[in-house]
Amino acid sequence: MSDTSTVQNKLDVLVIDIGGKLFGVETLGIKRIAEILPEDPSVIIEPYLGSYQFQGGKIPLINLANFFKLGSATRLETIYVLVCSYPETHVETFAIAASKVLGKLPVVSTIPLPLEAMLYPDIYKCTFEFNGSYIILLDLQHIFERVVELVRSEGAL
Amino acid sequence: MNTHVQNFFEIRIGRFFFAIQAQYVRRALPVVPHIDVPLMRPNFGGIVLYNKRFVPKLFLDSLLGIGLYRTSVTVTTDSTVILEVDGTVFCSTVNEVDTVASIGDSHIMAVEKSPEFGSPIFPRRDYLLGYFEHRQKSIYILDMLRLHHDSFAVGRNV
Repeated sequence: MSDTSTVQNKLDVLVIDIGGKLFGVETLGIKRIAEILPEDPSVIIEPYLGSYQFQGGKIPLINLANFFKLGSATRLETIYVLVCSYPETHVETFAIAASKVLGKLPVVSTIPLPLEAMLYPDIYKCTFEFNGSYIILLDLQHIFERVVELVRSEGAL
Repeated sequence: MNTHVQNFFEIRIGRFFFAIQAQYVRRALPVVPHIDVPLMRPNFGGIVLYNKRFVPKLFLDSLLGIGLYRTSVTVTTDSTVILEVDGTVFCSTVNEVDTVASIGDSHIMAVEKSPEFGSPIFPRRDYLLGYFEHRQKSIYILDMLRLHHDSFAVGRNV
Protein backbone atom coordinates (compact mmCIF):
# COMPACT_ATOMS: atom_id res chain seq x y z
CA MET A 1 0.00 0.00 0.00
CA SER A 2 1.47 3.33 -0.98
CA ASP A 3 1.27 6.61 0.86
CA THR A 4 -0.22 9.83 -0.43
CA SER A 5 0.23 9.94 -4.17
CA THR A 6 0.24 12.86 -6.53
CA VAL A 7 -2.03 12.32 -9.49
CA GLN A 8 -0.03 12.58 -12.73
CA ASN A 9 -2.83 14.33 -14.58
CA LYS A 10 -5.12 16.08 -12.16
CA LEU A 11 -8.55 14.56 -11.76
CA ASP A 12 -11.66 16.65 -12.27
CA VAL A 13 -14.03 15.49 -9.60
CA LEU A 14 -17.63 16.24 -8.88
CA VAL A 15 -18.56 16.21 -5.19
CA ILE A 16 -22.02 14.78 -4.62
CA ASP A 17 -24.16 14.01 -1.59
CA ILE A 18 -25.63 10.53 -1.47
CA GLY A 19 -27.94 9.89 1.44
CA GLY A 20 -26.20 12.49 3.59
CA LYS A 21 -22.64 11.36 2.87
CA LEU A 22 -20.27 13.07 0.45
CA PHE A 23 -18.55 11.18 -2.35
CA GLY A 24 -16.53 12.13 -5.40
CA VAL A 25 -17.08 11.00 -8.98
CA GLU A 26 -14.85 11.79 -11.93
CA THR A 27 -16.45 14.25 -14.32
CA LEU A 28 -15.03 12.23 -17.22
CA GLY A 29 -17.92 10.02 -18.26
CA ILE A 30 -20.68 12.22 -16.84
CA LYS A 31 -22.72 13.39 -19.80
CA ARG A 32 -25.56 15.21 -18.15
CA ILE A 33 -26.73 16.40 -14.75
CA ALA A 34 -30.44 16.99 -14.30
CA GLU A 35 -32.31 18.33 -11.29
CA ILE A 36 -35.49 16.30 -11.06
CA LEU A 37 -38.57 17.50 -9.25
CA PRO A 38 -40.59 15.02 -7.19
CA GLU A 39 -43.49 14.95 -9.65
CA ASP A 40 -41.28 14.38 -12.71
CA PRO A 41 -42.44 11.18 -14.45
CA SER A 42 -39.09 10.65 -16.20
CA VAL A 43 -37.64 9.04 -13.11
CA ILE A 44 -38.59 5.79 -11.44
CA ILE A 45 -36.75 5.25 -8.16
CA GLU A 46 -36.42 1.62 -7.10
CA PRO A 47 -34.46 0.09 -4.22
CA TYR A 48 -31.39 -0.63 -6.38
CA LEU A 49 -32.12 -0.08 -10.06
CA GLY A 50 -34.87 2.17 -11.34
CA SER A 51 -35.01 3.98 -14.65
CA TYR A 52 -34.58 7.40 -16.20
CA GLN A 53 -35.92 8.58 -19.53
CA PHE A 54 -32.99 9.80 -21.57
CA GLN A 55 -32.80 10.63 -25.27
CA GLY A 56 -36.04 8.88 -26.11
CA GLY A 57 -35.28 5.69 -24.22
CA LYS A 58 -35.02 4.37 -20.68
CA ILE A 59 -31.65 3.87 -19.02
CA PRO A 60 -30.96 2.16 -15.67
CA LEU A 61 -30.90 4.50 -12.68
CA ILE A 62 -28.81 3.37 -9.72
CA ASN A 63 -30.15 4.23 -6.29
CA LEU A 64 -26.69 4.61 -4.75
CA ALA A 65 -28.05 5.56 -1.33
CA ASN A 66 -29.80 2.22 -1.16
CA PHE A 67 -26.76 0.31 -2.44
CA PHE A 68 -24.58 1.97 0.19
CA LYS A 69 -27.25 1.45 2.88
CA LEU A 70 -27.48 5.20 3.49
CA GLY A 71 -30.60 7.37 3.67
CA SER A 72 -32.37 6.35 0.49
CA ALA A 73 -33.56 8.70 -2.23
CA THR A 74 -37.34 8.87 -2.46
CA ARG A 75 -39.84 10.47 -4.77
CA LEU A 76 -40.68 12.99 -2.05
CA GLU A 77 -37.64 15.16 -2.64
CA THR A 78 -35.76 16.80 -5.49
CA ILE A 79 -32.95 14.60 -6.70
CA TYR A 80 -30.09 15.00 -9.09
CA VAL A 81 -29.68 12.50 -11.88
CA LEU A 82 -26.20 12.10 -13.36
CA VAL A 83 -26.08 10.34 -16.72
CA CYS A 84 -22.85 8.35 -17.15
CA SER A 85 -21.45 6.94 -20.36
CA TYR A 86 -18.19 5.12 -21.01
CA PRO A 87 -18.12 4.38 -24.75
CA GLU A 88 -14.69 2.74 -24.57
CA THR A 89 -16.03 -0.01 -22.31
CA HIS A 90 -18.79 -2.60 -22.54
CA VAL A 91 -20.77 -0.84 -19.79
CA GLU A 92 -23.98 0.64 -21.15
CA THR A 93 -25.14 4.19 -20.47
CA PHE A 94 -26.67 4.45 -17.03
CA ALA A 95 -27.56 7.09 -14.46
CA ILE A 96 -27.04 7.58 -10.75
CA ALA A 97 -29.22 9.42 -8.26
CA ALA A 98 -27.73 11.92 -5.82
CA SER A 99 -29.32 14.11 -3.16
CA LYS A 100 -27.13 17.11 -3.99
CA VAL A 101 -24.34 18.17 -6.32
CA LEU A 102 -21.90 20.39 -4.46
CA GLY A 103 -19.56 21.30 -7.29
CA LYS A 104 -16.48 20.44 -9.27
CA LEU A 105 -12.89 20.56 -8.07
CA PRO A 106 -9.47 19.52 -9.30
CA VAL A 107 -7.81 16.74 -7.31
CA VAL A 108 -4.03 16.58 -7.38
CA SER A 109 -3.34 14.36 -4.39
CA THR A 110 -5.01 11.12 -3.35
CA ILE A 111 -4.62 8.48 -0.65
CA PRO A 112 -5.43 4.83 -1.37
CA LEU A 113 -8.12 2.97 0.54
CA PRO A 114 -7.37 -0.28 2.37
CA LEU A 115 -9.23 -2.37 -0.17
CA GLU A 116 -8.56 -5.61 1.69
CA ALA A 117 -11.28 -4.59 4.17
CA MET A 118 -13.91 -3.79 1.55
CA LEU A 119 -16.75 -6.06 0.50
CA TYR A 120 -16.38 -4.88 -3.09
CA PRO A 121 -12.82 -3.58 -3.50
CA ASP A 122 -13.35 -2.40 -7.07
CA ILE A 123 -16.12 0.13 -6.36
CA TYR A 124 -13.77 2.65 -4.73
CA LYS A 125 -10.82 4.34 -6.40
CA CYS A 126 -9.14 6.35 -3.64
CA THR A 127 -9.75 9.17 -1.19
CA PHE A 128 -9.02 12.85 -1.52
CA GLU A 129 -9.08 15.81 0.81
CA PHE A 130 -12.11 18.05 0.83
CA ASN A 131 -12.87 20.79 3.35
CA GLY A 132 -10.46 19.39 5.94
CA SER A 133 -11.73 15.83 5.71
CA TYR A 134 -11.41 13.00 3.24
CA ILE A 135 -14.02 11.70 0.87
CA ILE A 136 -14.09 8.63 -1.32
CA LEU A 137 -13.80 8.69 -5.08
CA LEU A 138 -16.25 6.18 -6.55
CA ASP A 139 -15.68 3.91 -9.51
CA LEU A 140 -19.09 4.23 -11.16
CA GLN A 141 -18.51 1.62 -13.85
CA HIS A 142 -17.76 -1.09 -11.30
CA ILE A 143 -20.59 0.07 -9.05
CA PHE A 144 -22.98 -0.35 -11.97
CA GLU A 145 -21.68 -3.89 -12.55
CA ARG A 146 -22.00 -4.76 -8.84
CA VAL A 147 -25.55 -3.38 -8.64
CA VAL A 148 -26.60 -5.34 -11.72
CA GLU A 149 -25.04 -8.51 -10.21
CA LEU A 150 -26.83 -7.86 -6.94
CA VAL A 151 -30.21 -7.31 -8.57
CA ARG A 152 -29.71 -10.39 -10.78
CA SER A 153 -28.81 -12.51 -7.77
CA GLU A 154 -32.06 -11.45 -6.13
CA GLY A 155 -33.95 -12.44 -9.26
CA ALA A 156 -35.28 -8.96 -9.91
CA LEU A 157 -33.62 -8.48 -13.28
CA MET B 1 15.11 -24.71 34.24
CA ASN B 2 14.91 -22.23 31.33
CA THR B 3 11.43 -21.33 30.23
CA HIS B 4 10.53 -19.51 27.04
CA VAL B 5 9.18 -16.01 27.70
CA GLN B 6 6.82 -14.08 25.45
CA ASN B 7 6.04 -10.38 25.52
CA PHE B 8 2.36 -9.52 25.51
CA PHE B 9 0.66 -6.18 25.05
CA GLU B 10 -2.31 -6.05 27.39
CA ILE B 11 -5.59 -4.38 26.50
CA ARG B 12 -9.08 -4.21 27.94
CA ILE B 13 -12.28 -4.47 25.94
CA GLY B 14 -15.38 -4.17 28.07
CA ARG B 15 -14.80 -6.28 31.18
CA PHE B 16 -12.36 -8.65 29.50
CA PHE B 17 -8.60 -8.33 29.39
CA PHE B 18 -6.67 -9.58 26.41
CA ALA B 19 -3.03 -10.07 25.49
CA ILE B 20 -1.61 -9.55 22.03
CA GLN B 21 1.81 -10.90 21.21
CA ALA B 22 3.96 -7.77 21.12
CA GLN B 23 5.29 -8.37 17.61
CA TYR B 24 1.82 -7.63 16.21
CA VAL B 25 1.48 -4.22 17.89
CA ARG B 26 2.88 -1.18 16.12
CA ARG B 27 1.59 1.62 18.29
CA ALA B 28 -1.06 2.66 20.76
CA LEU B 29 -2.51 6.13 20.24
CA PRO B 30 -5.23 8.27 21.77
CA VAL B 31 -8.46 7.51 19.90
CA VAL B 32 -8.07 8.46 16.25
CA PRO B 33 -11.36 9.50 14.61
CA HIS B 34 -12.46 7.31 11.76
CA ILE B 35 -14.12 8.00 8.45
CA ASP B 36 -17.16 5.90 7.65
CA VAL B 37 -16.95 3.80 4.52
CA PRO B 38 -20.04 1.98 3.27
CA LEU B 39 -19.92 -1.70 2.43
CA MET B 40 -16.92 -2.82 4.41
CA ARG B 41 -16.41 -6.46 5.30
CA PRO B 42 -18.10 -7.78 8.47
CA ASN B 43 -16.78 -6.37 11.77
CA PHE B 44 -15.05 -3.40 10.11
CA GLY B 45 -16.17 0.14 10.88
CA GLY B 46 -14.46 2.78 8.82
CA ILE B 47 -10.90 3.80 8.08
CA VAL B 48 -8.36 5.70 10.13
CA LEU B 49 -5.57 7.92 8.83
CA TYR B 50 -2.30 6.66 10.26
CA ASN B 51 1.13 7.61 9.04
CA LYS B 52 -0.26 9.26 5.88
CA ARG B 53 -2.26 6.24 4.84
CA PHE B 54 -5.64 4.80 5.64
CA VAL B 55 -5.92 1.61 7.67
CA PRO B 56 -9.17 -0.25 8.31
CA LYS B 57 -10.70 -0.23 11.76
CA LEU B 58 -11.70 -3.65 13.06
CA PHE B 59 -14.35 -3.92 15.79
CA LEU B 60 -12.63 -6.46 18.01
CA ASP B 61 -15.56 -6.55 20.43
CA SER B 62 -17.93 -7.56 17.64
CA LEU B 63 -15.52 -10.13 16.27
CA LEU B 64 -14.99 -11.62 19.71
CA GLY B 65 -18.71 -11.63 20.45
CA ILE B 66 -18.50 -9.35 23.48
CA GLY B 67 -20.08 -6.25 21.95
CA LEU B 68 -22.74 -6.17 24.65
CA TYR B 69 -20.19 -4.73 27.01
CA ARG B 70 -19.75 -1.50 25.07
CA THR B 71 -20.45 1.34 27.49
CA SER B 72 -20.66 5.09 27.18
CA VAL B 73 -18.78 7.14 29.74
CA THR B 74 -17.74 10.77 29.76
CA VAL B 75 -14.15 10.12 30.82
CA THR B 76 -12.64 7.59 28.51
CA THR B 77 -9.41 5.66 28.54
CA ASP B 78 -10.05 4.44 25.01
CA SER B 79 -7.12 4.05 22.67
CA THR B 80 -6.57 3.21 19.05
CA VAL B 81 -4.13 0.35 18.70
CA ILE B 82 -2.31 -0.02 15.40
CA LEU B 83 -1.71 -3.67 14.57
CA GLU B 84 0.17 -5.44 11.82
CA VAL B 85 -0.36 -9.09 11.08
CA ASP B 86 1.09 -10.87 8.08
CA GLY B 87 1.81 -7.56 6.35
CA THR B 88 -1.69 -6.15 6.86
CA VAL B 89 -1.91 -2.98 8.93
CA PHE B 90 -5.21 -2.35 10.68
CA CYS B 91 -6.40 -0.79 13.92
CA SER B 92 -8.87 -1.33 16.71
CA THR B 93 -10.28 0.87 19.40
CA VAL B 94 -9.91 -0.65 22.85
CA ASN B 95 -11.13 0.59 26.21
CA GLU B 96 -7.73 0.60 27.84
CA VAL B 97 -4.13 -0.27 27.10
CA ASP B 98 -1.92 -1.63 29.81
CA THR B 99 1.68 -2.62 30.19
CA VAL B 100 3.67 -5.06 28.15
CA ALA B 101 3.95 -8.21 30.24
CA SER B 102 6.67 -10.84 29.91
CA ILE B 103 5.10 -14.19 30.55
CA GLY B 104 6.81 -17.55 30.67
CA ASP B 105 5.18 -20.34 28.68
CA SER B 106 4.70 -22.33 31.86
CA HIS B 107 2.25 -19.67 33.10
CA ILE B 108 0.02 -19.93 30.05
CA MET B 109 -2.98 -22.18 30.62
CA ALA B 110 -5.76 -23.62 28.51
CA VAL B 111 -8.73 -21.28 28.12
CA GLU B 112 -11.03 -24.00 29.44
CA LYS B 113 -9.33 -23.69 32.85
CA SER B 114 -10.30 -20.06 33.21
CA PRO B 115 -12.86 -19.47 35.98
CA GLU B 116 -14.90 -17.38 33.51
CA PHE B 117 -15.01 -20.06 30.84
CA GLY B 118 -18.59 -21.10 30.22
CA SER B 119 -20.04 -17.74 31.23
CA PRO B 120 -22.97 -16.63 29.03
CA ILE B 121 -20.84 -13.81 27.64
CA PHE B 122 -17.35 -14.98 26.91
CA PRO B 123 -14.92 -14.14 24.08
CA ARG B 124 -15.12 -16.51 21.15
CA ARG B 125 -13.05 -19.53 22.11
CA ASP B 126 -11.65 -20.00 18.60
CA TYR B 127 -9.87 -16.64 18.78
CA LEU B 128 -8.09 -17.41 22.05
CA LEU B 129 -4.77 -19.22 22.33
CA GLY B 130 -4.78 -19.50 26.11
CA TYR B 131 -4.81 -17.34 29.17
CA PHE B 132 -2.61 -16.31 32.08
CA GLU B 133 -3.11 -14.59 35.39
CA HIS B 134 -1.49 -11.19 35.77
CA ARG B 135 -2.10 -8.76 38.64
CA GLN B 136 -5.15 -10.73 39.78
CA LYS B 137 -6.71 -10.63 36.35
CA SER B 138 -7.35 -13.31 33.78
CA ILE B 139 -5.76 -12.21 30.51
CA TYR B 140 -6.83 -14.01 27.35
CA ILE B 141 -4.27 -14.34 24.56
CA LEU B 142 -5.71 -13.41 21.18
CA ASP B 143 -4.95 -15.64 18.22
CA MET B 144 -3.97 -12.80 15.91
CA LEU B 145 -3.22 -15.03 12.91
CA ARG B 146 -6.67 -16.62 13.08
CA LEU B 147 -8.31 -13.28 13.69
CA HIS B 148 -6.47 -11.77 10.73
CA HIS B 149 -7.29 -14.71 8.48
CA ASP B 150 -11.00 -14.68 9.31
CA SER B 151 -11.28 -10.90 8.96
CA PHE B 152 -9.36 -10.41 5.73
CA ALA B 153 -9.21 -13.70 3.86
CA VAL B 154 -12.48 -15.51 4.51
CA GLY B 155 -16.02 -14.75 3.45
CA ARG B 156 -15.37 -12.17 0.77
CA ASN B 157 -18.55 -10.77 -0.69
CA VAL B 158 -20.76 -12.13 2.05
